[in-house]
Amino acid sequence: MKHLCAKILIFLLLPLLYGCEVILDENEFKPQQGASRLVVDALITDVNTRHAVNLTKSTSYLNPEDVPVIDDALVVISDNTGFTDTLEHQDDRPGLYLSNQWAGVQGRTYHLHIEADGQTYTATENMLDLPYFEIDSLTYDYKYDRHNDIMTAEYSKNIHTHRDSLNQFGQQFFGTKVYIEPYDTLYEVKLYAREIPNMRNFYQLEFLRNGNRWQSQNVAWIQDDSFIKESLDGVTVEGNYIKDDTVTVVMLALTRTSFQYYQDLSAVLNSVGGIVDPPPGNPRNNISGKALGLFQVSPVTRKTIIVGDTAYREQ
Amino acid sequence: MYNVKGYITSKSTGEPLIGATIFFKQLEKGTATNTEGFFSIRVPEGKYDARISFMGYEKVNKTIEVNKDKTINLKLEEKSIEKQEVQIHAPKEKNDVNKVQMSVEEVEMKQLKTLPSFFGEPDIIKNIQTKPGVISAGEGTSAFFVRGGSADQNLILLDDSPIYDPSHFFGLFSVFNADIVKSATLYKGGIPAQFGGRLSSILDVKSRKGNMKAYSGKATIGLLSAKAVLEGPIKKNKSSFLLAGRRSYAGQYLKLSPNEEQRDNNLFFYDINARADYRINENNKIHLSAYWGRDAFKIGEEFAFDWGNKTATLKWDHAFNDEMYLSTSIIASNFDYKLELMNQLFGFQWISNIQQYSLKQDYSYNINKAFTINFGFNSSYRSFFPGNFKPIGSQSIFDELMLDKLHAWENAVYLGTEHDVTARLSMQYGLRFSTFSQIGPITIYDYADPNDVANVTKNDSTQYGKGELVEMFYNPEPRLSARYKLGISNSVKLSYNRMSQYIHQMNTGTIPLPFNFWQPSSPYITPSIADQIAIGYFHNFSDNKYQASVETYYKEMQDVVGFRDNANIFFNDNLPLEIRTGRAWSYGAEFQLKKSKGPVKGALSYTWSKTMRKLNNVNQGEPFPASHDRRHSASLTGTYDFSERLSFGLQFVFSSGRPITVPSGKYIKDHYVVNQYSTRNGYRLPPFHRLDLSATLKSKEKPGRKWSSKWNFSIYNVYNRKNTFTLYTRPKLDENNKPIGLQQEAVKIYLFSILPSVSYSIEF
Repeated sequence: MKHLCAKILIFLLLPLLYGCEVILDENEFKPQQGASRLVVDALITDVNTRHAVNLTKSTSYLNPEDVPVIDDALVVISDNTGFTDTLEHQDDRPGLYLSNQWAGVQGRTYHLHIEADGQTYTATENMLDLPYFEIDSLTYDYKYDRHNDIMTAEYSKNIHTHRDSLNQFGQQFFGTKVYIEPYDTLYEVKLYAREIPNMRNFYQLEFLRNGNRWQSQNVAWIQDDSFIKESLDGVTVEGNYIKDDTVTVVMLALTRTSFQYYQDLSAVLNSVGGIVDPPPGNPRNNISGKALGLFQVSPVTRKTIIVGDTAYREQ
Repeated sequence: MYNVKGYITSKSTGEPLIGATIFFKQLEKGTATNTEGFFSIRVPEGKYDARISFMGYEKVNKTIEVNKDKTINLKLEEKSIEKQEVQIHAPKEKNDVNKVQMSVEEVEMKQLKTLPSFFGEPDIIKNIQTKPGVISAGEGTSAFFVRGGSADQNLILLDDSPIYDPSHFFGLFSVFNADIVKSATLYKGGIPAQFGGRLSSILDVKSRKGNMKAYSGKATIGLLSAKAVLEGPIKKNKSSFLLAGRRSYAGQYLKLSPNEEQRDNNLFFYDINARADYRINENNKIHLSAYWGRDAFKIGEEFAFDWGNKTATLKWDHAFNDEMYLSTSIIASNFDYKLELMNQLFGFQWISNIQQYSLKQDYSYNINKAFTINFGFNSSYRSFFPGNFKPIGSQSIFDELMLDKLHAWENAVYLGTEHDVTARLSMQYGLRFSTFSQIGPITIYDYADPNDVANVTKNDSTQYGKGELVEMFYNPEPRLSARYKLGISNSVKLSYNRMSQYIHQMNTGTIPLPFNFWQPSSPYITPSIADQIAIGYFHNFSDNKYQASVETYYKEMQDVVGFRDNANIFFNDNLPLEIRTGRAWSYGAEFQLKKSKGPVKGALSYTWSKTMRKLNNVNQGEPFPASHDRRHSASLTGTYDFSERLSFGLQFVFSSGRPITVPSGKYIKDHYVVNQYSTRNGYRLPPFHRLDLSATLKSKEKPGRKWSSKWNFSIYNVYNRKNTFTLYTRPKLDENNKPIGLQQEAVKIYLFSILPSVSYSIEF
């Protein structure tokens, strides 16, 4: 939650509180154009699946269209035991390359080799082999029932914090909005988990609703465990849910490189122009040749519940 | 030769007059009083016509017969305004042409109170920001940048005690209450040997002494704050006190807010200045002065942040004899803050502070009329506590984290001279020798690559016990100023100074904020060094009514502290990895025209400058403009005494836009639209300019009435320019708050529209 703290520090500040904003049109803000670069979005996990590598290019700031994709690249994943797999381009999904079906192995070192636009890019990353984090259970509870006007104490607290207070001062900076959706009864989902102590670990938490990640300007929680207690008892998962929603919590262990990448990415996404925050720059990553993006290799832990299933009802 | 000495004080307040002159006509020589209002001069036996004068005071002509050592104490009477208008022949002895010191700016305290001010609160730092060679980061900030130096390179002193954060309300106001300030002097270059510790400037603020003769007081209420001063003798002519307090009530407005949430918010500041003076005898005087201020800021029930400075100075001035003086000071300064998030899950508290204790002695020895030496030492112990992070609330997911407390000891000895080499050439030269020792307890890590945040590899670690020396740094710092008089009304000046700095503010943004803590030089951070050379030409016109000057400078700074892109300095126990050091250089020309006499007074200044930085592993190792680089900056300040009761003030400021880092492209990662960057500070914000006006109306004087009152009206940002404070980009959203494709929009934040304000003060 280092992430959140740093943001509160930077953005809940008086200058911005006094500030008024004006949206500039394209004549008032004309940044210089930089070189178009390869953007790699690659994730290898220990789940038995077809791993994806997405290749796109960066584009001009003012371009309202989609980013250009790369469809004719050579993409090869190999590991330190001699295993090699050339990824297959998906004709129906521009820019996407999929591996054969296999599971990454903890403890191995993975290499990514890309040949695109006449240039070669490489990246190397380890799949961590330590137990990091165990998700004991997920539960759900009523958050708000409009018909019966039930508002849990937790929710009352939360709605106050996130919606009325924080949004008021830094909605545009936080980017997170409280999703009050037009359903009568909302549920919240809580996470019970244990973190393996005495190691400096980094991880990324993702919360999926019906398979989709909550879309916000925040990079999904990234954690440096030196701040976090060993057990998390009933941490409220991001978002509001309705009956029959499938809610999944995914925990990916991060190498320090990946952690640093996400931390930098989060700083970039939340930059307010370097007046009280650090000057933004391209997040540092593990890919050669000045490519943007990340080659992420993470073991995964996940847990799923269905809201409304009495087995998971908060006691 | 006999010695003539004495004090020159104000008749009405008993306050010493600094820089008052005594001039012996027949000898064509004279001297000026020091900071205690004391003068001393050696003259041959004889009978002389002496003229004693001080700006704004009635001149005194006195015949002095010298046949033995003599003590003459003089009281000067303040001039009334009409007389000041008539009296345009002011003392010639002390002006910019004659002074040896160059690159120095004084805040004209009297004028400051008539100039327009933000919410009617005269502010020393806001005034400093209009001086040539000084840059501000925009409005609403108390940070200033001197000749290409960063904000933490200014040593801000209140009665010799350092102020680590000079801001109230995140910089809307400064910690200095103008009602208690006697003088504020900014040294931008040619810095005398008695000062040191920062690269770019010294802002030396002195509080005034309480009235030794009678009780007096002043109370002011404005739209945002109220203040009061009370002073008077404890024992008449022997001891005095001065007590001043300010309290803002901005937070009260929030209570009136139609928005219920807003009513839960609060923000306020207060500060207290206290001073006591005691004159033991002719040769011994002591005073104690203290400052205590606090800001508090609260949002709803969740978020609270408060911070403040506490300083205390005990000073003893002693005269051994007519030639030798000593002042001894014991100084304490503390800056701390506390930040709290009250939330069941994410609740935490964070506290941090920096503390300093110093002992210093300054000796002054007048060897002869043409040669004075100043020498002394300064010894400071500091502790730096970057932070304790503590969970609050039973359910908080956080663990306690205690960052290492750091300790250091800084020592300096100096020897400086004031030397009149010939009638035309005067010099000040000296040497300061500073040392800085980081001391234990601490564990120092040997990072394999101190620039690699992603692969933190510690080769080794060394533990140091309590008081054990970790590393010592030292620097000789030569200082030189010379003035050569070309004629009666013009001179050229040259100066050189080397400065070193051993403490560094961890500030990644452009403006330092109260939670930007400090770190000492250590095995991780090399001390910074600056060399500056300046040349100036000074010319007075119309019998010194107008003072004009041109100064050019070049400053080279080594091992300045900067930060990597996206640096994270909070709660970071590998903080050294975020730091990027390198060199910075700045050069420029400053033009100034001042008029300090007559009903219309003011200053017009223009500065052309360029400030670049080159940091390891930042901007691909290429030089880039510092965020306080401004090609052009200009200011016009003026006051007009229309009548005895009514005066007007004007202030106009202009500067080129601030360089910032903006996206040069965009791309998609993890469904986010992410900005692509190519150069640091590669874009300029639009220029900044603003006009402020004010009017001050004094009450009619009535015979027998012991009090007077004053209305001050001011308009800030008269033509309502929306000056860009910052600019950033974000995804463009439709009416349902959903992103529209990949479209981004640029947003500018501005702080203030046109702001009228009024304040009323009453004085007795």
